[in-house]
Amino acid sequence: MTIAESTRSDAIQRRLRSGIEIVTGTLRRNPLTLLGAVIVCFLGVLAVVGPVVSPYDPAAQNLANRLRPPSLAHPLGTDRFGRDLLTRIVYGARFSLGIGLAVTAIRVVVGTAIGLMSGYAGGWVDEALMRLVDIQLAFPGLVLALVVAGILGPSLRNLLIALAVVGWSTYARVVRGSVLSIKERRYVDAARLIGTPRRRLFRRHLLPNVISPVIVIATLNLGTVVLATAGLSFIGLGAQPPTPEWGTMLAGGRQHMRQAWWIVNAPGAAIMLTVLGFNLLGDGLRDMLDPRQQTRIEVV
Amino acid sequence: MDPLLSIENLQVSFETTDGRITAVDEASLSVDRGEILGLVGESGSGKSVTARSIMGLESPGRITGGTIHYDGTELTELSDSAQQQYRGSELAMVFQDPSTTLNPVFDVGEQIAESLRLHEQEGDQSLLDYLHLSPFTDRSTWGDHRRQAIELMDQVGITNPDTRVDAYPHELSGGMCQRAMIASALAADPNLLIVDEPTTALDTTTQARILGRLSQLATETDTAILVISHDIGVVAELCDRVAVMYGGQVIETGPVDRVVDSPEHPYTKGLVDCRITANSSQPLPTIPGSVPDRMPDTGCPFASRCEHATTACRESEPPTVSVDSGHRVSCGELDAVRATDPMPRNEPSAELLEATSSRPQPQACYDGGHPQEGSESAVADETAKSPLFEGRDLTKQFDCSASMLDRWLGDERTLTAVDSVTLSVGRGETLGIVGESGSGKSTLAELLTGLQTPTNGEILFDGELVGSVDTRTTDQLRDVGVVFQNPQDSINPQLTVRAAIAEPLVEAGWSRSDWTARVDELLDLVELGSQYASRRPHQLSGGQLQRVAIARAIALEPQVVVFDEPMSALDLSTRATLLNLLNEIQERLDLTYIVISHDLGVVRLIADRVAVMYDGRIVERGQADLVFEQPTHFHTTALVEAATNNYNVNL
Repeated sequence: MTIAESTRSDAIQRRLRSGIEIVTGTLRRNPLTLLGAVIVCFLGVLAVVGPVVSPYDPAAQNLANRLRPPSLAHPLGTDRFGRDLLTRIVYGARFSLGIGLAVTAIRVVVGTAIGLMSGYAGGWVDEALMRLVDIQLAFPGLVLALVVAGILGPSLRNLLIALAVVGWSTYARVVRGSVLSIKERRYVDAARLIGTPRRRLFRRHLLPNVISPVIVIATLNLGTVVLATAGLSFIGLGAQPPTPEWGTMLAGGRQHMRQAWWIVNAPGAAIMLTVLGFNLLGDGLRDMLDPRQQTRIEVV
Repeated sequence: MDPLLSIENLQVSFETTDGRITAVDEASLSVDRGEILGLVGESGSGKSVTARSIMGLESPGRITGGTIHYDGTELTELSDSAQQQYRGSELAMVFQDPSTTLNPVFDVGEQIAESLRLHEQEGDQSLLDYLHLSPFTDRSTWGDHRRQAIELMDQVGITNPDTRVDAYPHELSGGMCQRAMIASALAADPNLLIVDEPTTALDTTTQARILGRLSQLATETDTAILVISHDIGVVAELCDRVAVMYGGQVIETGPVDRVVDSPEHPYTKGLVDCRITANSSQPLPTIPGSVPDRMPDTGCPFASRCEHATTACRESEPPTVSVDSGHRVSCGELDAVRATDPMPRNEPSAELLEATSSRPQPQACYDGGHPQEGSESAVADETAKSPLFEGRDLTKQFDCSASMLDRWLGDERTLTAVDSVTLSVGRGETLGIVGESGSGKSTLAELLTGLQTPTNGEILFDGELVGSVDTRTTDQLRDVGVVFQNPQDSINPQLTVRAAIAEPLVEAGWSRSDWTARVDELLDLVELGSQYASRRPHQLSGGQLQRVAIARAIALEPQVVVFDEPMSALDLSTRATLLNLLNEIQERLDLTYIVISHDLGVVRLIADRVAVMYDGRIVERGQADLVFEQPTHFHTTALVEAATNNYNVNL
């Protein structure tokens, strides 16, 4: 048993090592991926621990301190109610990342499930689901989200629903395409021949082989969702003041743009940095998960 | 006079994360005008990399040493654009898989014409031609090119070139595509044609025709041809000279009759011996071991698999000895090798020998005597004891209607892949099903295993009616194991070998400790070391993967195993070892086999009875030896001739 265990841990180590090699190899070829990863990690840490270390309350107004330019006490300045901008941005990261993750997770789960079903079942199920996807793709995503958010009423929760409803079709398409080719592979036949129940067939043979493009799209998608959240909040369909959401902050600072440039620039920069981070990371992931890349390394 | 192409001490290496891998290590060879040189070796021996380096396509590898001299020019020193001038017009290459090398969106005539265009207008292209704006390009010569393309297609033996010139690759068979590729390679009238595995993907009769065409070309047009193959039989029939590669080195070279008839290097001997010929018998001689992942840095690359290897072999480079005029061998132990002629066989156990000697007598012959045509054998079936696995009157039709609209309009077209086939196999027996590609034999396998539902007819297992996969009970599924053609395709790339083999066991509800033990047992049975258990499919060779597939198929101790072209994706030497293994497993576990193959040699060796399929029907059946010795149906005759007639079928 000890021998079996040792070969097992050996195998795990080998796998880990080859995984690390792929990661370091990609980073060496493309250091921007590292930058993306650093930005995303930084934002993540900020969202989690930031509120704990920040000395201000994001909603506490201090009219005596309104529209102060960046200083030591307020590194990013204060807004029209005298609230500390840095604190609000740190709190805002929670909303932006949280909504981004939640929306993307819903999209991935729904889209992948529909894609798997559609690709594997074929026939009229496929036709029906794909026509649904076509209809959804016929509307510009943001406009559709706008309509949904408008109907449901402006709030962060409704914004989340609206964005989740419109974005899953890409995943469904991609997954369906991969499933169509993978279900023809002989190992799927072999699994059917030993009586593998359908659920296990999906979980063990189809899903792991279609998931890499989904991961890449999801990462790139996170940036878009952050942008869409900010956009919809900016026009008043998402988070409502005084919620420290980046889009809402932009909207609030708009009228003071001329006297106090920092009010719009701080949340703007935060949005840009987040989207950039996710996009760089997504590009890098695409390289890492590209099967050709793996064969290049495993050519031995 | 200098040879047309001469390679001296060529070295090509690949940079990987595990360090530098030398794929071609000091290989030297030469080809003359009008000569056909065969380059032989197992997969991984560096033969394809060598050929690609000649064409300047060695990337992602890099030439790290040596010279490639072509007609007075040193190719390795040329820039990429200068090499482009040679590619196509002087040197041409036909790649292995015709279905992936032809562009599916252009018709074949256009693809042949394209290479004519590229090499004719060298230098006088107008700017508009460069821009590839199709409405503006000069098309005045296109008619001529089309005519030339038809001529070329005729030259390589494509029948009806006038109509086929407009066919798209998917409308042609593999053999036709291969010929179209050769035509397009010949379009620019190259002086050297490199053909990579010209026949591996094709069935026997097509192979024979293509090889005949190639040798005709060499004599008629004085073209030098470099043929790459793992099949020393192909090379023996086609080539004037042969170079044997192993571990990136050319280990033996010489005139074909010398090398094949009296090979000197132990590796060449192994390659020659493991061929499956008309008089091969079980167990086949094999080359022990497999090509290692990494060649030793010093010494003879074959030392690890050579029984004559001495310490000197492992520590110093073997000397190159000139045996005869033009026949050179790199081996340090030639005297010892010669002393132990012929090549020793894999020693089978005594009981196995006994078992194999009794094999030619099948236990039962349900289909009556030989010869017999058509499917009126059902009557004969009932006279014998009840067969284990049988198909009655099986028919499978595929719907080929172009669109849903066609179907509504009643324009239904169907393709009958299997046409009222009745067959049966008795316990412990091996039934071979032979036929060219497209004869319906793979569909028949899918019907028997239940992957397809027959349009008509029924399948019985042990007298009990069984349906398709989704309706079979767990016990019924367990009784039939399947091994597919392409091992890379039949094992989930995400699973380790252990998990892949364990899958049927886990599905059957075995506990972890039980299945772990069983997997080790199975690995042992298919002669795969336990160190492979934690590897993933991409780290295994085709032969090793096929062993994994076999282990998975027999994991739950089925009664029948269906093999769909089990060897056709593998090297000859691997084929021989696997065939021996299959026989051994059958004896040990008392299995019933159904083996589907286009390779008569394989079927003849393993099967007790054969059924020959043609156009969806069984046209001939009977005892294996009888069918092949006295074929009655014209198609069987053609198959047998193509396989035994030494590839010299007249065209």
